[in-house]
Amino acid sequence: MELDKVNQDRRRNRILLAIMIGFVGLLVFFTLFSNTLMSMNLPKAITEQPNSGSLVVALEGSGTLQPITETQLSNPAGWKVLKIRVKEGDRVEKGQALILYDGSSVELEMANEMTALEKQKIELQNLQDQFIQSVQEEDELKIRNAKRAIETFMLDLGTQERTINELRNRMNDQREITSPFDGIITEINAVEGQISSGEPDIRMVNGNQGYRLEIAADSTLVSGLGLAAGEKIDIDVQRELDRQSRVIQGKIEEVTNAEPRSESSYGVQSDQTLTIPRKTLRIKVVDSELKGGEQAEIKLEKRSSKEGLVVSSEAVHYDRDGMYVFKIETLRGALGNVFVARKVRIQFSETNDNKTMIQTDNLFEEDLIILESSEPLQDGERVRLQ
Amino acid sequence: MQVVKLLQKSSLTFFMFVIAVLLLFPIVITFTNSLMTEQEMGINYGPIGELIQAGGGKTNPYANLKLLPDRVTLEQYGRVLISSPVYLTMFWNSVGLVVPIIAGQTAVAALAAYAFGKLRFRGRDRLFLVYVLTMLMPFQVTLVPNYIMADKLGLLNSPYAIILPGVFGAFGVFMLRQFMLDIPYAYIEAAKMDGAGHLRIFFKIIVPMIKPGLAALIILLFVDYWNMVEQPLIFLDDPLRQPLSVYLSRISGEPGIAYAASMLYMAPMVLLFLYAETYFIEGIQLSGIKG
Repeated sequence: MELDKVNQDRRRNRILLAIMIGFVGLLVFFTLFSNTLMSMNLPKAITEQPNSGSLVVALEGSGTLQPITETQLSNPAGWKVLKIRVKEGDRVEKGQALILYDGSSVELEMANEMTALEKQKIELQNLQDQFIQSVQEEDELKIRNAKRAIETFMLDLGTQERTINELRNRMNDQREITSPFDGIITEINAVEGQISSGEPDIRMVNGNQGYRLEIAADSTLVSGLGLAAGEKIDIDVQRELDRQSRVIQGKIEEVTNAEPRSESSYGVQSDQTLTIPRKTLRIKVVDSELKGGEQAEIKLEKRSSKEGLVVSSEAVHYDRDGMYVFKIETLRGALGNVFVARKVRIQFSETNDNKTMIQTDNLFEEDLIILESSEPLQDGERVRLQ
Repeated sequence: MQVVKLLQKSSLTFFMFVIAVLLLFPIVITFTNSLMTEQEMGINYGPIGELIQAGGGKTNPYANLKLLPDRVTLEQYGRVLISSPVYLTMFWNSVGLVVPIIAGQTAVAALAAYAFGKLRFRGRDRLFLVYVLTMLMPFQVTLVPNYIMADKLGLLNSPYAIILPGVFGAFGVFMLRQFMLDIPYAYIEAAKMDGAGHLRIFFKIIVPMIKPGLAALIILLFVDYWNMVEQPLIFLDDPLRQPLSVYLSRISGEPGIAYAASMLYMAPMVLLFLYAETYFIEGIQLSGIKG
């Protein structure tokens, strides 16, 4: 009985000892491997090292060439169009006839007036005959009457002739539209056989004045490239006909403020948008071969004048207080190093499409910047390096 | 007569049962709650957290004590063991403090108790009285002198500031001396007669006989030092060197892992007690003292 109890106690003790050893072993295991286990659950981070130096800023833009001066021509008389002599896109010279109009109503009127004139001339002969008869009769009073009648009639005749001239002039002027300068026909609204519908019958541009290209770009980019009015700039123009491009030199006419662009930021608080001020560049191009409406591109590359750390734009995040990046902070531990994402505030200086140059005293070239992470990060959060 | 006895016994049993329930309740709560999810924890104990934050404001101070979790999860244990390595660091800090203290004090106390109990020398009892007096004074009384001494010895912020005073604690000497007084002189004299020296007598005769005492001492010392909070708080500035007890006293604001941490903290103590308890009984059974 006594011995049984002792044996039982011994067994119990062995089990307890095993549990104790197991417990301690478990704790030892977790002490040694908790870091490894944990790092499997940490957000993954892809990093890059910033380069110190300057940023290559590139401005790329395209647009269509728009003529600077454009004239609309139409027929004030509202006549029917008889014949259109030109096509859209034709190059015309000054004085060239563009559209002929049907002036038949005026012609008819003129013919009537002419007939009236003829009739008046015959009437005049009657009056002259009367005068001759009066002279032969030697009636002084009658002579004077006939003379007055002839003089009055002569005046009427003059008026009639002026009216006819007037009609002839109108006919000549309005029967056709001629080009007021050397230029290019851009649009024809007139239709043969119809009265113009209110729109100008023909639209043409003055090729000698040149064309304008408008390109909008971020303000920082414009100032970074040092673009200002008066600067010469190369423009790549694509001809519509054969799609071949040609480089033409243009000149920046003016730089004006444009509508700001808004961009959603990809930070932790990604629900806010950032407004980026923009400028419009107006570039003037003069070239005899241009017609207007061509696609034109500009491409500028320049190293920025300022120096700083260049990082990928994806690494830069925005929040209420400004911009920041996450850098990797290495905490040395007895059981392996621990990597922690640390928020670093930065001053923005310049950016191009994929790189941003930042200025800060808290970052160095050897620091690792988090480019991407598998989940949104918080300051001080541990990460697993990829 | 028999009915009275039965009544007496059953009422006593009932009384013991009530006391046992009262004592076990916190442990059971701790265990079941350690299996709860953090969300459930927040719902149940949110009011207390708010109360702490509001500095005892007007929020509802009654927490919802829940015995059974809605969803059993080991999430808390995972967090304690895997994602907060501080806990394990603290655990080993505690072990690093308690094991040397127990080993040292047991060794020192056994030898000193032998001297005070079984050797005859001048001024023995007076010296023992002085020794015991240090034990009678609570730790808080000697705190400032201890601190100054540790400072002078350059032991501040070092675990030795806690281990050294622990090793030379008077409690073990007092307790083991009581055990030794029960050992009849006849054993020692018989050994002496056979030509054994003091060391041989101590290891061959005394130690086996005070085994239960040693077991009891180890349990008591373990409970005492495993739970200490003031000493590490005062002597160790570096939070990473402080033992689990200090960490646990702070973790309470974080109900998500407080229970699991408490369970893991409790485990070594319970295991050691269960183990040493059987040893204790065995020791009594096998010792020569028992009639």
